[in-house]
Amino acid sequence: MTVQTSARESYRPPYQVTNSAETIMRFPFPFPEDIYMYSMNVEPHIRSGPVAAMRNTFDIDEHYVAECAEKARILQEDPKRCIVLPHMREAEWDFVELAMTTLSDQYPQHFSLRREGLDWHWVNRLLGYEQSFVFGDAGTLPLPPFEYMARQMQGDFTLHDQREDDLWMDGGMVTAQADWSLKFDLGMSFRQWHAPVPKAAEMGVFDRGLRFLLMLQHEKPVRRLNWTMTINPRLDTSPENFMVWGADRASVTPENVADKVHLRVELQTLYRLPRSNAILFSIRCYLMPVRDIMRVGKWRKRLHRVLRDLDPALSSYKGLDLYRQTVVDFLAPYDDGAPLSNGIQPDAEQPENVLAPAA
Amino acid sequence: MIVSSQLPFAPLVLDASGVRHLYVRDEAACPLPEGCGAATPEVWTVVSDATAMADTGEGEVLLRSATALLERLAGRLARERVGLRLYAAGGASFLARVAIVADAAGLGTGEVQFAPPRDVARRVVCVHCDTLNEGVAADTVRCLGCGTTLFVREHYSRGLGAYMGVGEPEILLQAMEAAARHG
Ligand code: HEM
Repeated sequence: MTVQTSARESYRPPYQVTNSAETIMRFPFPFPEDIYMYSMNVEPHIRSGPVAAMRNTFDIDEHYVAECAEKARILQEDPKRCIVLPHMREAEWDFVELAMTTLSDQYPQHFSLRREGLDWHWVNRLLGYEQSFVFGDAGTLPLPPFEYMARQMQGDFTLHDQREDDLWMDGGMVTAQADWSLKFDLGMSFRQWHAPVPKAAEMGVFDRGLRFLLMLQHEKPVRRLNWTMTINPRLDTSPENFMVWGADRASVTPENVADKVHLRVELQTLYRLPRSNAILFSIRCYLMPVRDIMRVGKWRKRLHRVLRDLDPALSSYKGLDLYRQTVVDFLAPYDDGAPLSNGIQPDAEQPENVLAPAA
Repeated sequence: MIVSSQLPFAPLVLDASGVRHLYVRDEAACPLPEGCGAATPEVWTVVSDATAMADTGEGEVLLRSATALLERLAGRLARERVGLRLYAAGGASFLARVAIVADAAGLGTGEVQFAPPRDVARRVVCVHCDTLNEGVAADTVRCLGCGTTLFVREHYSRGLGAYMGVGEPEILLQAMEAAARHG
């Protein structure tokens, strides 16, 4: 994957984010079927999958530099987006190790790590960082270990202590969230932080999900896709800033729908951490405008069907009610109703041009 | 199954596995836990009266305010050993504050009981500016800190002892109203 080394993009007004053909084709489109409902959609996070975004431990793409810059800006504006409770110190180092070893191993052109006992040397060529430090000695890093590393990665991360047969929201860095708040959910149990979600608890999804995660093993990570929609390419759709971005939901028209409305997909991966026995939850967010989704035949037809038939409780929880019909009406002429293959993989090698390019 | 992040409210029943029992309430009208007699709990009651003296002999301990009771409770729990059972009754806000004190002292899930709250005046924290708004009986409240009209989400943080309050931009409210009118 080609990574731009300077951040020309903007994830806030005036918005400026574009996706290359490669980024479109590697997008983790979240719908394996024409109908969507919550389910226990968890599978092993192995280094293969239907699209390229799923084939790395932590996925780095062309938006890396711009996303890290936006994350730094959000943390500057609101330091409470990064909180780690004191008993998670060991998990912080587990995270540093997992991130540095896998990134340097899978992207040697961008990252390198030299280890001599506890003396480590980290190089991040994309952001221009170089750091010698003693593994396990927080005083040798410029920031607390979790914060130091999470700032150098796309997406959000949370750390979960495991006790009393439950998982606890005991730390994280959350700057690109779909309308939930780390400072509010801090210290909650698995069922508590999921309380606002409709239907899933009654369906047994959370009971099964929790039972499964409690048994998660080191070096056997798992993954799932979650999705919502976002108006404009905005990473920070936090409740903290809802008064800033919420009104965008009322701005969709038949004329601007293809460019304004984005499918927001979270590639969620979960890891058991070896020393602390904590769980790391990684939420890698992908924003794809309807205009780009249109360029894959299977995806535009399936998005039309899923949105048209979406359960009203899910539509309302995800905040789609004001513009879902506008999107469905826009997509309908491009769906011939032909059967589509199961799974999320695209049905072509290259994106096609269906719409005239954005003005 | 009702799933909620709110406190696990249930009628109070004296727990025979406890060695010592402490009952705290923000009003004398709150009834004693069921099963009192087999063992008698110590009772602490808020009387909202600046002349109340806490240490007058035996029986009920009278406290001048909820804050006074909670401070005393924190001190007491710091000195307690295993075997204590804590029971709390009163308004939603008082119970939220008891939970914070009990959690800070490390009491486990089985060691504390909360009676169903006797009022609906909740604490609401503003997610935009972190101000804690006390005694919110309605579904909305004007935030004391930033002036935003907060809508109370059905999401409770035991750590903060408060529900989440989130504003709605005016344009959104109007659009939703219009959508509801036109069906
Ligand atoms: C440690 C692991 C996990 C964390 C930290 C986590 C966190 C969250 C959070 C913060 C939310 C938003 C809740 C809100 O509205 O405030 C959420 C939503 C949700 N979670 Fe999880 N979750 C985890 C694991 C799982 C698992 C294993 C499943 C299912 C098997 C699951 C299913 C869901 C669903 C269905 C939603 C609603 C999403 C939507 O409609 O947009 N979660 N999760």
